[in-house]
Amino acid sequence: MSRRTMLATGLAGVVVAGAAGVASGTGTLDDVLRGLGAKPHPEPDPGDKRRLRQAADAQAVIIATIDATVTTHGDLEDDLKPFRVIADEQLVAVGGRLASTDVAGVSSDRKEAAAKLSQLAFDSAEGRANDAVSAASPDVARVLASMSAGLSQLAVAIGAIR
Amino acid sequence: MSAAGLRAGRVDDLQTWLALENEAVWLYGMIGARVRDLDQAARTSYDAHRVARDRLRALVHDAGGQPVSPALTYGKNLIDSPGEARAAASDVEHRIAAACVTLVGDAGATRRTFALAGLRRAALAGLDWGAKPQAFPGLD
Repeated sequence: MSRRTMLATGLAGVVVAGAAGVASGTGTLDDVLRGLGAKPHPEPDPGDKRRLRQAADAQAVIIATIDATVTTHGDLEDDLKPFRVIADEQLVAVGGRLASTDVAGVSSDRKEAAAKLSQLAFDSAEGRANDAVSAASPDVARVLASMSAGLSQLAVAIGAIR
Repeated sequence: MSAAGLRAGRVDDLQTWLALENEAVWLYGMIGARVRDLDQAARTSYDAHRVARDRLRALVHDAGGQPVSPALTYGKNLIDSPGEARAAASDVEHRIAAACVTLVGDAGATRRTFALAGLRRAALAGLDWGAKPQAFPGLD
């Protein structure tokens, strides 16, 4: 199943619901869903909304940490650039957006900084995996599970930077 | 994991995954036999996929299904180079990840946990065999 299909049929109802306060009663939300090729969705599970919000928050921290790491260690920019693209794709998919996020100080040691970033991705992978197991919507479960696998790949790939 | 109560569609999902594990066992056996530089890596993957295959066979059987048998061959040309081996291995791991994602949608925390573990294993194995990291393995 493609992620586009998954997002249209499952996640969209949850993510877009964040705008429901503005859109409700106007038909705007339903229009958005129809535009994605999906039928208007029933009220999403509150737990799934929370799970996606947590995923987005954690993802914003990862991206901010990548950026801070590159600021401190300019020679890591080329190594981290593809991972930054992937992390951004994940953020967008769970309905997050970049925001100014405080991150802990980046180590002046290059390897230590990369290791810390790797650990951050690993911890988020664990969090998304746990949320996938408990998700109410099968589609949310699938997206979070896949995101967890992607974050696991990032953790390993970043950890391998020399 | 108890397989009791698995619906026919869920058994089909398990069978899809099992068929891919059969293919992976075949593939890594061939790589190990034909690509000397990768024989140790192939052995590790071969062992891991045999474990997954046996577990899935038991689950399908317990659910009242007839576990899908391995094919004699999987239509691939013989693999002779590390590059061909890495491409074939990345491909089968990618397809296993996709099968696991489908299964994750099944109700039940235990079954999801099982499929999720398979998904993450496949994603990391793909990386080991040369695949690039992806935002959403199994969904892209």
